[in-house]
Amino acid sequence: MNNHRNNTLLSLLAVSMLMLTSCTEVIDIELNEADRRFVVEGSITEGTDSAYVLVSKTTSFFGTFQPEAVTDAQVFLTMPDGSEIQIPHVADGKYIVHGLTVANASDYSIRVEADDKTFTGDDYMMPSVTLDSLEYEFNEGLFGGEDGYSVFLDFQDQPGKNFYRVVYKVDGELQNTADDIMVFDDNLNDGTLIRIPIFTYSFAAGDSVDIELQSLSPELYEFYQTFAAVASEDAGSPFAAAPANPNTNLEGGALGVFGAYTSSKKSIRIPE
Amino acid sequence: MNYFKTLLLPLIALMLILLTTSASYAQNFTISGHVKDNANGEDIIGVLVGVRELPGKGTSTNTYGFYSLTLPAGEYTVFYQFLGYATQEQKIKLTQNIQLNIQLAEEDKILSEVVVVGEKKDQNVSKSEMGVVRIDPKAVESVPVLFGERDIIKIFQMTPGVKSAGEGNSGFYVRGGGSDQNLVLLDEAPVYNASHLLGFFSVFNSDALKDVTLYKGGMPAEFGGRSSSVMDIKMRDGNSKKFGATGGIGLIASRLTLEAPIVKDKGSFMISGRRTYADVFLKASKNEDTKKSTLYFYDLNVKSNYEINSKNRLFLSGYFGRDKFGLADLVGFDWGNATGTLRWNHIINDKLFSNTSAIYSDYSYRFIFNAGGSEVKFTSSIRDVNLKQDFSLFPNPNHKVKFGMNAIYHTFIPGEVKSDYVSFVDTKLTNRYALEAAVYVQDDYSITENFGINYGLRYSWFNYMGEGKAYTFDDQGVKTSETVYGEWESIKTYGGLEPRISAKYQLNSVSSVKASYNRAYQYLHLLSNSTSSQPTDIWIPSSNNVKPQISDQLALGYFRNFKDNTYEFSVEGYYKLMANQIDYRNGADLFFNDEAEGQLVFGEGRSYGAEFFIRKQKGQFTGWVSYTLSRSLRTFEEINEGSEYPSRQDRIHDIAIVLIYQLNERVNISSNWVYNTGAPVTFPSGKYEVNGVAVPYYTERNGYRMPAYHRMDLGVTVDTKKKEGKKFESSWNFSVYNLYARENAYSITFRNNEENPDQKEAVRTALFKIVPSITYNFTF
Repeated sequence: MNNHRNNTLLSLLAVSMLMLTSCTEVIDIELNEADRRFVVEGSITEGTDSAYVLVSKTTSFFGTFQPEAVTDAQVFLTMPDGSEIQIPHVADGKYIVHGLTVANASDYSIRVEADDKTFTGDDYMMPSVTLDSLEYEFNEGLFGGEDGYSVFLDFQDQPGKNFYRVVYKVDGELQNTADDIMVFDDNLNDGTLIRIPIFTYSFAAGDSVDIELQSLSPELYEFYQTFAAVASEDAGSPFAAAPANPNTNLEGGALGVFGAYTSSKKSIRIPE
Repeated sequence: MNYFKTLLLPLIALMLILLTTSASYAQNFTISGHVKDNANGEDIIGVLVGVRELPGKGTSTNTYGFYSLTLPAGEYTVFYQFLGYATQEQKIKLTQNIQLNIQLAEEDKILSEVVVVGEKKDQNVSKSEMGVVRIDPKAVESVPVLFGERDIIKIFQMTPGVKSAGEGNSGFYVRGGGSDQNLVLLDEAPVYNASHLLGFFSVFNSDALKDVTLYKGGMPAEFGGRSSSVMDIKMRDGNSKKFGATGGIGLIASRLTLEAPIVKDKGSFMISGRRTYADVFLKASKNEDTKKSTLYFYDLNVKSNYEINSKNRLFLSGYFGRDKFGLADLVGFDWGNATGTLRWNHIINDKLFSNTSAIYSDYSYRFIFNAGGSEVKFTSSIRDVNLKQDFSLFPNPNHKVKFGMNAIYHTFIPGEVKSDYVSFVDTKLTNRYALEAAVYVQDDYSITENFGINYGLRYSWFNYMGEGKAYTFDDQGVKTSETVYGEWESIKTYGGLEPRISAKYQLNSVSSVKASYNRAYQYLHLLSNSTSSQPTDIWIPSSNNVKPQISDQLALGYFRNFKDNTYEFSVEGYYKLMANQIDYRNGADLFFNDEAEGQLVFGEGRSYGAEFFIRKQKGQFTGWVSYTLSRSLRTFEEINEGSEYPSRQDRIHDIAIVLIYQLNERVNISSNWVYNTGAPVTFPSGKYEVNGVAVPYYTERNGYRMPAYHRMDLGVTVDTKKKEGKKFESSWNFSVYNLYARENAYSITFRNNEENPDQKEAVRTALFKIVPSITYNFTF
């Protein structure tokens, strides 16, 4: 085979390879409008004296509007001792109560009454976890990617099944896109000193990072796990499971979750 | 085993009575022997052996080219007929048992239409079997496929009742069943994961294949273990006359096959390899990490056979294939199958043929992660050791009997993780063991000249056993108990009878009606929580929690040939019920989970459809048109509030047109067009926010459909001029996949609009817009 033909072949190869690249395009599709459904997001955390509940409704999928707030619901919190406290509406569907004494290793529950419907949720607040230290490490960019820093968390896992979530702020700003949801369990390192990087984010020099390690009940963990799958833009891709609403610990037909969790916070600054 | 005693034994007795009564009235002699290709000595499977003086009486060669025909003493003209070969006649005087080995010569591809064919090639109409598609890999080698990489499975996807699992995917669905419900056999060895590179290529290198038959329904009793279909793939034996080499250089992969006699006309071997070289381009990269990355797969098929004497023959065949993927030194991932089959053919007497097989099959995958000098290694595999004994009995021209048994010892190694990482505890999931056994008997019986029946019965039995742990779960999938079992201690057994029956009634010389019913048990289940097949999908045995999948299929068909059998037409309707189907709890975690069984939910399925098929197999112009109208539905208590919904196999309309035109001796043009209704898909019906993250709200599984899929491909094969007296032949194949650049949706996903993050938008991904390719093939 002479040189000229060789070149033709090679360029043909190159052209063919280019053609391989898949193409994406934004398209219009028509979706059925489902009946509006209630969404309840409630939380109570050790280390604070408050409980927070947000009540809203689902909206049209392609709509630009913010979720529809439900301002006229009756919201109640049941403490571990069985006492029930009503949580008042503050604004925009947010219901907040202060002055609580929050203890871990206890059960909490909420009840939301709206439109003749009642939604309840129970959660167990796990014993507290302590974040021992944070460390950062330089990562060389791979495949032409940018260089960056990993932040590692070190903490002692308690024997038995434990579930964790990591929430982080960069320069004071909470990172809360779908890709920032980081949950993990201790299946492969039960009872050990766990060292784990934040695998959802690549930090840059000069970033100051606030990290919160939350210890979750199995139900709350399951919610975040299934929530992350739905929130991900991979939902609906051939490599993902058929999408479905997250598994919730709420009864009565509402979407969302009620979480009672313990947490531990630390901060670190990556030098310039 | 009670069933077995009460039903199978009387059936065998009945058969024996039938056989002896019809064979006892005259002095009979047997003609038997092998039919081979005269050019390369390959056995020819399914050659019709008939007798001119006794129309309607005859037999056909079995998998090993063996035939046996018992007739009353007399003078006969026996003929041997097979598509693509010149028919041969032998005049015989039958006064004693005769051994007659035949060598058939292939017809010239351009002359084939001109050759005068004295008899009807009407097997489409005259055979009792239905729901069967048989394709000779050589006959379709010019059909254009993705990247010009010949793939027999993609050809089957263009036949009625068979659907592709997705764009360019070599996974296939048969009559509404899942791709894990197809038994894919390569020289009798089950292949557990028949695809490379995330499904774009099948593991079957066409150069190494002789014959591929797909049983969509009317599954013969000799096969079992999967509930939807059987794809029976036979490797070539290798040229027993002379040395030969075949190969090709393509865009994606190169192939080379070598074959030669061990002892001329006594034994031969074949070795066939294929390897992709996408990674060669990575080496050209300036980036060090890219340079060190790997991405390739290979297939190696080997086979040899040796005729010890006229009554004994040995075959040894093997397949080894692997995908390797690596990112620098950081991640390594490889997976693949290894199979081996050792067979012994023994002719017990003129009428009784025996084959004994010892079969090994293994599928494994492995992950290696490297982080900061520590390594985490994950391995998983499934392994089978299988013994099989089959007999073919040819008592008289009206019966062809097969019976036999087999036993498989399955070892499941779901996962093992090892690491030297600091906070890491080496973990191993419980290995699982099972024994699967079956006995069967079947008879192809020509009751009258027009009425034939192929009936059989299979009894299968499954024993899930220790050593290991068995769990029980509550309704929510939470573990409630754990029991430890000792080695060989039975945990759970299942068994059942699988009746298989098909019958034909020939209306006249060109048309017939056929009906079939079959039941099939499937004791192994694939856990795959995604639409596309993945190398990490795990096989599990039936257990105390998972019942065997059972399918019952009823089919009716009308078969008609036109223009002296030039055109074959058929229409088949089927109705299939599927019990104990598997789906997954929402958010199911199947990967590395010892309690994965608790993540399963069980339901039912049904599918039905009509398949229309017109095929022209002879002449300058060949090809087919296929149209399937079908539904595939599932019902699970946990999904869509228990109401029936379309499964991912549901495509309603499915059309395929394949046209192959031999322009002249050197140029072959082929084209295909496919169309199918989009697959069902789950889309959101609203959205809401939790923790400030907006997520879709779903109301219904598979409530929407992807856009319809269609595509046209074109291929041209040009043979280079053959030099006088030279053995070397070569050809160029040019093809274009998706000729009119249709952007078929591979997936539709939703994301936030970049400018306005509160606004969601739908994004369609199309994989292959227009893919030209070129392949150079040679043989000498």
